[in-house]
Amino acid sequence: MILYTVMPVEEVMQQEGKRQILEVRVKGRIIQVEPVSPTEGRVLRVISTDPQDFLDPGIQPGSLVSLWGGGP
Amino acid sequence: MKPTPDIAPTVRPVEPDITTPGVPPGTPQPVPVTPAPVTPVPVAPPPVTPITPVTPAPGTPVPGVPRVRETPPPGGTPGAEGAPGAGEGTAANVRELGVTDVPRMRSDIHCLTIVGQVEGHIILPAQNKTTKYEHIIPQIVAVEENPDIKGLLVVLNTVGGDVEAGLAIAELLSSMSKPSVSLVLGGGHSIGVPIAVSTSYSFIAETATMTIHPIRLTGLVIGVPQTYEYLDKMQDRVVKFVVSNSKITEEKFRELMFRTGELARDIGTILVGRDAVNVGLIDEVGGISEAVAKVRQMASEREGVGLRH
Repeated sequence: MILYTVMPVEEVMQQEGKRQILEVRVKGRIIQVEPVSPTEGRVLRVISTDPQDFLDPGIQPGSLVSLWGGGP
Repeated sequence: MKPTPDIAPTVRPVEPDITTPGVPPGTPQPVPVTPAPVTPVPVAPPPVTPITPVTPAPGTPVPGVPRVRETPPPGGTPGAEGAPGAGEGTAANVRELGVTDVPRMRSDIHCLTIVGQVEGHIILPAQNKTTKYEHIIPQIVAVEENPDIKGLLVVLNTVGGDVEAGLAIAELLSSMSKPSVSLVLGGGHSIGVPIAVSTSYSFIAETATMTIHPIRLTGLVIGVPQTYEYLDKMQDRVVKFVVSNSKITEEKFRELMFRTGELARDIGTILVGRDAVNVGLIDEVGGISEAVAKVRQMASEREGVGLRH
């Protein structure tokens, strides 16, 4: 792998505390969440090219979604 | 499950198919003689005792029986469903829109955001904000494939990243048949440069910056002489791609790449907004309204010449 970036490589590669990020599918969209409990996750990012997906109030970054069964 | 990015057409069955349960196969059912499926096929209520089949007049919904999506009657006309021409319109709406789900607005211009580090074959530590090619590549394929999508807007705010992954994304974007417009906001550095120039047209915000610098040894590659040749080859790939996808000359790009005195830690150049346009790297200074207008204009021109999607 060759990194071509303006960020210093030490900064890119430093490992600080384990942070778990999961990808779950909510209403057919892929969403990155950080689990806050075994059943719930806090939305970090919506991964979609459809701009309308980002208007859905249920998957706004920071909101909680269920990790099992598709969320609210 | 739907494929990654959710751009499938608006067929969204929200109700379980309620046509089959409760109706044993032998149930006498009115079989429409005409193949025109404009009216929903009435469903006979579950028979308690053998009775004469309910035969409502065509178009009359059966009381107590919810309107359902069209189902081909048993032994009915195969191929009537989905047959072009026949029974489109109402039946198509009933089928497409489902029963209760109100279709939300769907954009015919999709937006690809490339932020943070472009992540390659190695997952970067979690404090990095990354754009993963396993997300981006299927999205580009889906945008190219979906006939409802007319164009793609690529918004960049990236510090660079993996050369292979970045070039893969750039190559895919440049080979798309649909119009694509990039907009560099904040920063489009390093491997962000080929991605920014890969689209059909490119914009940069007035305050956005692009850093052009050589590909360096990152410490992950063992320092043997062959490595430098390898790095050189990687660099040539980037240079060639940028030169062939923008108006900048190879001499100019290499000169910017190896310029000294502008960057404290490195050699290279920072281009701010209009500078990137002046050297021929980016087409125009602009923002979201210009970028969207450009996609729309290119999309309508494309449809005007009769190209399919």
